Amino acid sequence: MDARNVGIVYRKELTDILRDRRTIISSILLPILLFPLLILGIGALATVVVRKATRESPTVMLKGEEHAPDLARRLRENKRLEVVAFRDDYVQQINDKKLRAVVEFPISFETNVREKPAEPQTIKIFHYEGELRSQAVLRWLEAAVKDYSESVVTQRLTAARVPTEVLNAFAVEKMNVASAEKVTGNILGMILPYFIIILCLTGAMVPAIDLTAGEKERGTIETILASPIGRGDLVLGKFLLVLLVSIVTTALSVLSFAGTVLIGGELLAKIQKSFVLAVSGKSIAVVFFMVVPLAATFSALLLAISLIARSYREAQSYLGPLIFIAILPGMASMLPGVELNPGLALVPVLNVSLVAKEIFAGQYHWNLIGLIFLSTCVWAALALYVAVRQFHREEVLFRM
Amino acid sequence: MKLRNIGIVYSKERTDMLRDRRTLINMFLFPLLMFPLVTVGFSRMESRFRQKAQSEAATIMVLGAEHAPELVAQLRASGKFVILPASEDFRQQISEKKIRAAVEFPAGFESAVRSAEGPPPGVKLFYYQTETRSEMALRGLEEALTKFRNELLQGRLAGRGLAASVLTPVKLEEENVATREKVAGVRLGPLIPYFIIIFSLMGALHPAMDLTAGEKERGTMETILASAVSRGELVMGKFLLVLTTSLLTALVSLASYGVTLKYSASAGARGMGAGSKEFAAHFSLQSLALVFGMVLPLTVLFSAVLIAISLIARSYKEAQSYTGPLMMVAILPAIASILPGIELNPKLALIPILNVSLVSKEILSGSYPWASIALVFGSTCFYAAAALAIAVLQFHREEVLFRA
Repeated sequence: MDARNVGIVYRKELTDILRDRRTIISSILLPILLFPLLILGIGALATVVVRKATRESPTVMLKGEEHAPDLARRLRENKRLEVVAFRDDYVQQINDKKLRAVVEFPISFETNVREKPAEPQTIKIFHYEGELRSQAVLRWLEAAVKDYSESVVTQRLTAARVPTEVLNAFAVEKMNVASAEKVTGNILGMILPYFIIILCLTGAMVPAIDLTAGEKERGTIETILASPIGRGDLVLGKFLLVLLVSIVTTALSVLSFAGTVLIGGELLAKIQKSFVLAVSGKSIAVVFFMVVPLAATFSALLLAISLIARSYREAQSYLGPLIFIAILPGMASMLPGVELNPGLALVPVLNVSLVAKEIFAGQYHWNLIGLIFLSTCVWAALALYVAVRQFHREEVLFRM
Repeated sequence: MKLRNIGIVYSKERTDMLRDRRTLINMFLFPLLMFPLVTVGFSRMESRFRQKAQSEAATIMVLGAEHAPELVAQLRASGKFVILPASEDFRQQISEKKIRAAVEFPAGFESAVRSAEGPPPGVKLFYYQTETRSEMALRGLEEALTKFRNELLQGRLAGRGLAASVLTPVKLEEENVATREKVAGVRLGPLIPYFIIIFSLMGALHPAMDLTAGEKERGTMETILASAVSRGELVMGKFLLVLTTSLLTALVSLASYGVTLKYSASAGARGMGAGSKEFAAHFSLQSLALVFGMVLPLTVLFSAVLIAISLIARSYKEAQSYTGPLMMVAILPAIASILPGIELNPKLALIPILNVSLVSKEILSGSYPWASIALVFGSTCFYAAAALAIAVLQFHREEVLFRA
C-alpha cells in the first residue's frame, strides 16, 4: 500500500465529486438548511398557536348552577374561562369541539357542603379525553374547585375554633441540583444523537454509490482497475473521500443546529421560559471523536454493499433498507431508562447513540468512552476489510 | 387528445415499470415495513424500558434521617427505595446519575410535626430536572410525603375532635363524553395524514424521475417524441402511471398502518395507542374513504409537480438533486398538522398540503366540516390542475427537453 497512490485516487474522486451539483446540494446545502427550516418553521407555528390559544378563552357550561351559586360565581370570574348558558346538547357540543367542558353540580350542592360536613359532595366534569384544549380546561377547573374546597375547609375550621395552622404540617421544597447545561443537555442528548447518526449515514450514501456503482454505470471502473494502483490503495482512496463527505455533512448540520438554536433562542424562550441553551465545546468535540469511527464504519459498509450493484439506481435499492436498520438503534437515545453498560457498549450504532446522550448531558464515563471508541474502530476496520475484499472479487466487480 | 393514445403510453410505461422488479419491491416494501418496525418496535421497546425503570427500586439518599425515623422507616418498608448512607457530595451524585434523588429533613423534624408547635418545618427534595429516572423518584418521594402528611393531619384533627372528612368537602369525578372514535381520532388522527402524505409523495418520486430524466438518460426520449402520439397525450399517459403508483403506495401504507395497529396489543397498552386495538372499528370506513378522497387531488398535485421538475434534469441523478429539497418543503406542512392546537380555518384551507393534513385530522376524529372539506378539495384541485398544465407546457419546450 502506497500513501501517494491513495492520495492520487483521493484527489481524483474529490475533483469528480466537487463537479457534481448533487453532492453540493445533498451534502452541504441540505444539512445547513435542515435545522433552521425545521426548528424555526415549527417554532414560528407554535408561537402563533400559543398566542391564538391565549387570546381565545375556551367555553364551559355549568349544569345545575343554581345549586352552587358561590362556586359558579368563582368560575364566572375566572378570566381564563368563558362560561356560556347551559344547553342540553352539551355532549354533542363537546364532541364537536364547540364546548371544552361541562361542570355538573349535584342537587343542593352548597347547602349540603354547609350542613353535612361528614359527606363529601361530588362534582362531575365532562370533557373530551385526549383533546388538548379540553384537557387544559380540565386542569383549570380542577384548580378552581380545589381553591373553593380549601376555602370551605378554612370556614369549617374557623367554625370549630381550630386555627388553620393545624393544616400546615410541613413544607416541601423541590430543588433541581443539575446545572443548566445538564438540564438542556439531557433534552438535546435525546434528539441530537439520532440526527447525527442518520446524517452520518445519509451523508456517506451519495458518494459511496457514485464511487462504486456509478463508476460501473459510467463504464470507467475497468479503466481505473487497469491502472498501476493496487486494489487496496484504490479502496482506501475512495473510502477516505466517502468518510470526508460523511463527516462534513454531519459537522455542518450540527453547526447549523447550534447556530439556529442560538439565533432562534429568543423564539424558543418564548415557548419555554426556562430554556437556557448551554452546550459546551468540550462535549461537541468528544462526540465528534466518537462519530468519526462510526462514520468510517458506515462509509466502508456502504462502499462494500453498493459495489455489488451494477447501476446507481440498483445501489439505491440496496441501501434504502439499511437506513431502517440504522434508525432503530439510533433512536435508542430517545428511550428513557436505557442506560449504558459494558455489554451495550459493544453494540454498534447503539453504543455511540447512548454515549453521545451521556456526553451532551455533561457526563463523561471515560472508561466506556474508550471502550466504545475502540469497539467502533474494530467494526470500522472489519467493514473496511470486507470492502477491500469485495474489490478483489471479479464476480462482484463485473457482475452481469 | 385521444384516450386511446394515452392508454398506449400508459401501458408502455406500466410494462416498463413492472419489469423492474427490484425497484418495485423496494417502493412497496418501505411503507409496508415502516409501520410495524418503527411504530410497534419503538413503542414496545419504549414501554418495556419505562416499566423496567419504574419497577426498579430508586437509589436515594436521606439527609438527617435521624430527625425523621418513622418516615424513613415508611420509605424503607415501601420497597420502592434503596436508601444509601448520606454523604456530602449528594448534589454531585444526582447530577452524575449515581443516585436518583435525595431528601433532607431539618433538625427536630418529627418532634416538631408531632407537637404542632412553632413554624412548620421544611423538607427539601433534590433531583435532576428532565432526567426521567430522577423525576420518577421525585414523584415517589412526593407520594410518600403526602401519605405521611395526611396521616398526620388526621391525627391532629382527631385530637381536636374533628373528623377527617372535614378536609374533603368536594370530590371530583371526571367523565369523558367523547365517543371512542373521537378519542382514537385525536390520538392517532394527526399521524395518519402525515404518513399518507409522505408516502404518496415518495411513491410518486421514483416513477416521475424515471419516466422523464431516466428516459433522457437512456436516450429514448427522442424516439418517443418522434412517435405519432401528441405531447399532451404523452404527458397524460406518463402522469397517470405516476399517479397510480403514488396512490398505490398511499393505500399500502394506510393498510399496513391499520393492520399494525389492529394486531399490536402492546401499542394499545401504552397511552399513545390506548384504544388503538379497536382501530378498525373506530375509524369508520366512511372517514377513511373521505380522507382518501382528500388525498386524491394532492397526489395529482405531487405527480404533476414531480414530472414538471424532473423533466428539467438530464439524468436520474440530477433529478434526485432537484426533488430532494422538494421533499423537505412538503414534509414541513405535513408535520404542522401533528402540532397540537392548530385548527382548520378558511385561510389555512388554502395552503396546499397543510390543508389536506388538517382536514384529514378533523375527519378522522369524526367531525365533518363540509364547507372546509369542499374548500380544501376545491383549492387542492385548482393547484393540481395548475401543476398539470405546467407539466404539459414543459413537454412542449424544446429547451427543456433537449437541455445541453
